[in-house]
Amino acid sequence: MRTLFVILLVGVFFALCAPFQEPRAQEAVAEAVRFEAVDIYVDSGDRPLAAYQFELTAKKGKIAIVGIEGGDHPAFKEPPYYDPAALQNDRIIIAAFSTRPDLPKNRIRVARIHVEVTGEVEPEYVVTLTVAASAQGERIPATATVSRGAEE
Amino acid sequence: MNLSAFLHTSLYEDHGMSIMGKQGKAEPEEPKQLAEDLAALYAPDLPVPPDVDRAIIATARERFARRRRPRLVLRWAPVGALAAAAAIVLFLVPTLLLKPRHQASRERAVTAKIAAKEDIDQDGRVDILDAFALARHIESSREFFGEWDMNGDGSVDDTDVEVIARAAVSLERSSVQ
Repeated sequence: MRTLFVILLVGVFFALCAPFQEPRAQEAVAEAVRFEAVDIYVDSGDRPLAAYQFELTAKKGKIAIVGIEGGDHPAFKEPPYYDPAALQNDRIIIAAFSTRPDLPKNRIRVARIHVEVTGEVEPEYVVTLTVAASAQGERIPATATVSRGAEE
Repeated sequence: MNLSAFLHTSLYEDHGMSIMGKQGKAEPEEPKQLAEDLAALYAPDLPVPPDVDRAIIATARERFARRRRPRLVLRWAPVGALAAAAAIVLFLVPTLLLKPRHQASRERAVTAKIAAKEDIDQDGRVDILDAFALARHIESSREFFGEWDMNGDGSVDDTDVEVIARAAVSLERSSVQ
């Protein structure tokens, strides 16, 4: 009877300690790491694009965002706004606006995101355009797309 | 003749017994007097008062009860351990796991209250359009409201626009909206 009691206590102890244990040894095995650039394009059609905000996440793969650059057009050349907490994360919200008179139209690259990819699973990125606005601050219809750049 | 044989013979002679059997064998026969004497000697002729009797029984019961207690403890120990384990799982683990969630939701609630201040266009959420709206106001030098002074430095300028823009891209805040 005492043996049963001791076995039960030991079992309870290990069951409670399990969530706090360190990751398994096999997870510690080094995985392949590579870097890639992810370009985000916004297409506002024939309406000048003055502001945008989108969210990027990775549906598949293990990624970590390591850097953000601005876009091609002078209106969005400067690095956009983002939460520094998104670095080393797999999710980021990026936004920018411009009060310049010359604003881009149609499809333009608004940002380039540098990503660290770990493992063999190819990342699948999902971009969600939250808002796009004209120079008057009015919401305009637009689409956002992702294009994976060359591996670095 | 040794001492044992001597005593045996003397005893039988004292009580007028013959140690010879029917066939002349030496077989002991129990004399009547001896049987009576022995019965009188070992007979429980001391009367035990009922109080003493009850006290003895009570003491015996108490001792038996003491012996049983450890057995009861051993019998119920696994049940007790199981109940303790269940209590730990039910109360301790949820407390450890859920506490951060409660704290996070509390922080989100606080963040949501702050968000209302940065909602310049008052559409119910903070996004880049709020920063853009304030930037356009600043560029056009229109009338400012004191509540747009986000950083509390007494003026409404680009630093306030920065505050709103950062709030718009905040990952924590986005999970509230």
